[in-house]
Amino acid sequence: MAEPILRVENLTKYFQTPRGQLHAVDGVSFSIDKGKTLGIVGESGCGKSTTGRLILKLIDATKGNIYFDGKDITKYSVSQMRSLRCDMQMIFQDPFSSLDPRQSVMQLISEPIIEHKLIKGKEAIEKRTLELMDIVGLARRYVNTYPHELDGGRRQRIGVARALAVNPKLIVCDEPVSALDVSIQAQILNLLKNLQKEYGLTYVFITHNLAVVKYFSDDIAVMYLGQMVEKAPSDLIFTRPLHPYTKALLEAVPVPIVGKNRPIRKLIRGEITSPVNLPDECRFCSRCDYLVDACKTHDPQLAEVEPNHFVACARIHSVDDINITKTRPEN
Amino acid sequence: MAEQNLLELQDLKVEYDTDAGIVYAVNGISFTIAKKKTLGLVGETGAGKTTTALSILNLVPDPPGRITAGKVILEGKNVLEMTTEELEKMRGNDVAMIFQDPMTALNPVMTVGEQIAESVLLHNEVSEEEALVRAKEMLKMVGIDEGRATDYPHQFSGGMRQRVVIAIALACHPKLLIADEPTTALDVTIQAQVLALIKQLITSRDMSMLLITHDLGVVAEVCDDVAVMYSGQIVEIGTADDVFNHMLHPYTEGLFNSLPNLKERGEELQPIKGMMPNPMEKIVGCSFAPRCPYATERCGSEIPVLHNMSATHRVACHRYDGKEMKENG
Amino acid sequence: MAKTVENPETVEKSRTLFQETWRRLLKNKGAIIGMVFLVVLVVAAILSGFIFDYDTDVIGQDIKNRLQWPSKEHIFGTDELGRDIFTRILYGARYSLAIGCGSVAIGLVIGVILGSLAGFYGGVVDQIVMRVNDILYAIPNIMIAVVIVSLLGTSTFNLLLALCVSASTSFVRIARASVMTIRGQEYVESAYAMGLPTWKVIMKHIIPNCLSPIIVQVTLLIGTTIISASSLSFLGIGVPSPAPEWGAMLSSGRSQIRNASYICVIPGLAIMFTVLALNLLGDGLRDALDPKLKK
Repeated sequence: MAEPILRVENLTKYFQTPRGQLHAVDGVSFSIDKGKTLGIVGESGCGKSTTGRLILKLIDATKGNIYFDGKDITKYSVSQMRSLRCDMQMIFQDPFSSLDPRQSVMQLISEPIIEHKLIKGKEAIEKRTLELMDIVGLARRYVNTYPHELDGGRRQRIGVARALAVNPKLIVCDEPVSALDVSIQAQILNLLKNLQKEYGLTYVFITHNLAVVKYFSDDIAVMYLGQMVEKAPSDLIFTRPLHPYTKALLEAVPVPIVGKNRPIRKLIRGEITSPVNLPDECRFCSRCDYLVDACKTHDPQLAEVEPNHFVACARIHSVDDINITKTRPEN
Repeated sequence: MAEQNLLELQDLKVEYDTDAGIVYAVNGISFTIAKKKTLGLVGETGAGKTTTALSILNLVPDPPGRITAGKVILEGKNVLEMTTEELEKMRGNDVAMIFQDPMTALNPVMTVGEQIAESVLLHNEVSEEEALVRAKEMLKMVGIDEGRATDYPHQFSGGMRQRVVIAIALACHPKLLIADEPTTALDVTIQAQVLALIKQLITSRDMSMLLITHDLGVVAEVCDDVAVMYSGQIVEIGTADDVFNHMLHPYTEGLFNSLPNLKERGEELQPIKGMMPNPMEKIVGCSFAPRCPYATERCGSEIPVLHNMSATHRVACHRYDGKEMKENG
Repeated sequence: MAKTVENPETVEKSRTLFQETWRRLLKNKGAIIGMVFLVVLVVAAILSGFIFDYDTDVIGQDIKNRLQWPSKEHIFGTDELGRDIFTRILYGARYSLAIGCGSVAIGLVIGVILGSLAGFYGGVVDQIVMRVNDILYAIPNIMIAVVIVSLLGTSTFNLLLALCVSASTSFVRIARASVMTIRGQEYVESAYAMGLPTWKVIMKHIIPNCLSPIIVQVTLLIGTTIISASSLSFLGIGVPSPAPEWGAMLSSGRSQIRNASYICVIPGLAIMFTVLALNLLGDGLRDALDPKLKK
């Protein structure tokens, strides 16, 4: 089997704050094969955006290892990373603040090409910039306009073009459509999917929107308070969620169905707890309805409970047949 | 059954006078909200939803905004003709509004108890102590421990702040609650909690609600009736069942088709091609025609009006000309 | 292959932020008045160097024509030494503008560099720069000027030097605050993600975006610096006489204030209108650059 293009082991990031040690990302491990999409899902404070930035080494990890294309890049210096920047790129969330307001579309898209000296000659660079605009569906007539003159959808296309300009292998998409209207979201998602097919791109797709991640990802990882609590192929996550948080998350999504087919939802209680100075127990236990004794005594780790399906839950780990977990405790 | 209607908007038109030109934000909207009913106003950015909501309270900033036509009839009286005194009495008391961003909706230098009490004191002849007692009751009602009445907004999370905002809005038992994207800024699990809370409070207090959102899932969760807005006009309006299960307008169709929620992996999403028209241009014909897969020549020249397709369901689209429900049988 | 863009559609006309700002500025009547006045003043200041001969026209005394009230011959009258006040006012503009612009320009460069470093690196660098800055900021600029001038002597250049110390303190603060805000913007992150080295990120992306508050501060600060220069000259420790610096002219007119008040009033008005024009322009710029007023 071919080496996965990205492999991450025990990736950890702690921040020192006046209140104590903040566990932003805690022991996250996963791998992605070339041409696939891993969706990372979670709510605010779960660490998914930080994970995205750790992968690209925009933030330095506290612990753990990152392997890109077989190479251990964990300790790479800034200059060593420079050439890798052409292989790993990022699409940012906010189309309103991720583009320098003083640069025109031409300058924004050609900047990475010029910086990495990928093409020589002003004319050739401009030609390539226009080609990229075509690829992302941005009308050529906007080439000399500025971000503040364009709407969110078009700005996001500029962001995609910038990422593509260096011919990357891996793109981390940090909530790329969350700030866009529904109909524009669909346009950008289709674009990203087509680009993946055309160029064999690998995506790490970070989002809080479960509907989008289901549509887009091959595998899905669910994060809560810095930890990965469940990881499985996309279909399994939706048909057989095992972790109580995953279940709660799925049930919480408002479904646009009216009438008999409307699913009944059970809501999660409480609020997210503090990521600072964590005790040695399951981080979800204060909101969980399925507690067993082990939950309060140690912090469960991600383990494979059936082929390709990983869960971090003491209760799940303790049962012999995970099928019995489908029923609620009251039944 | 005019007495059944708490709120009636008649042909409302609102413009904004900007440097770059006049923006036609709302172009002739009419709808009614009956007592104890919830209307969801759905549309994307720039459709004119927030302007509509502000008009109901006559809070459209003037300048640069201008209500150029129409009436807003609240329990028989036209809000747009009310005196300042009457408006102040109405706002917060008969009609309350909650906004999208809980982070900036609360005054950071007042405790939450004081902020709720402020609303009570404004509209009722009670003492400060009584107002504070009422404030604590409201906190309890929205699921916050009473003891936190002396805490400041920054000590609460986003979801809890939105609960406080709801408490302030409901403190004076308004008859109509206008909620402008109340859960958009919240996490999914918190969103679910807050929506459930709103739903429960509306029912238990016999209130009507105008819920503004772009999220069809939220609408399905909470609303009895739905109005779809596009480019400052209502293009389809009916009960939730009408609009979700028997949708008529091509824009409504397009909205549902672009939702990944209901699609299988691998199927391509069908976004609506193009963009919403520039609100500074006066519209000739149907505003959706340039993006509509069913557009005909007539669509480009004649503005469609709302036809009654059933007792509850109306749509503004030339496709349905001739198919309207007849007035009498 | 066409020159820049090869396509059959017309390329969309667009405006840079600079053009956008200029357009908005022109809508502000106060700003236009201010700009016109300043342009006239600058032209007059430059031309007076060529038209007037310093020794005869500007400081040449003519005792028999002393203390003449404004008339056709002497538009602003003559002072106690018979010198034509109009000529001296026009020539004096050179001093005010040179000192105002000069000290602000030097203060700008020093202040922006130090402030950007403090804002960008934070930590110890920030602490040191800001504490020193706070101390200098707290000392009244007149006092700083007095100290420097008494150490180095009275001259136009030393006055300029003294004033640029206090000018730089405000720029340090502004630059630091701007850099700190922009440093956290996603487009800076995007620049790193692209592989840009830190120095390029600062020069290309951070500093150009800090310019708005700095530009506003420049116009306002020139005004206050002119007043400071005039005050110091008034006290006799600024531009040495007989140079026609407005503050000095005001000072020398004190003895005649009862019978020839115009000798004081006119230079005073000159200072006032210049600073007013700068303030009008500065306010106009602040409004034109305000991002909240966009759209």
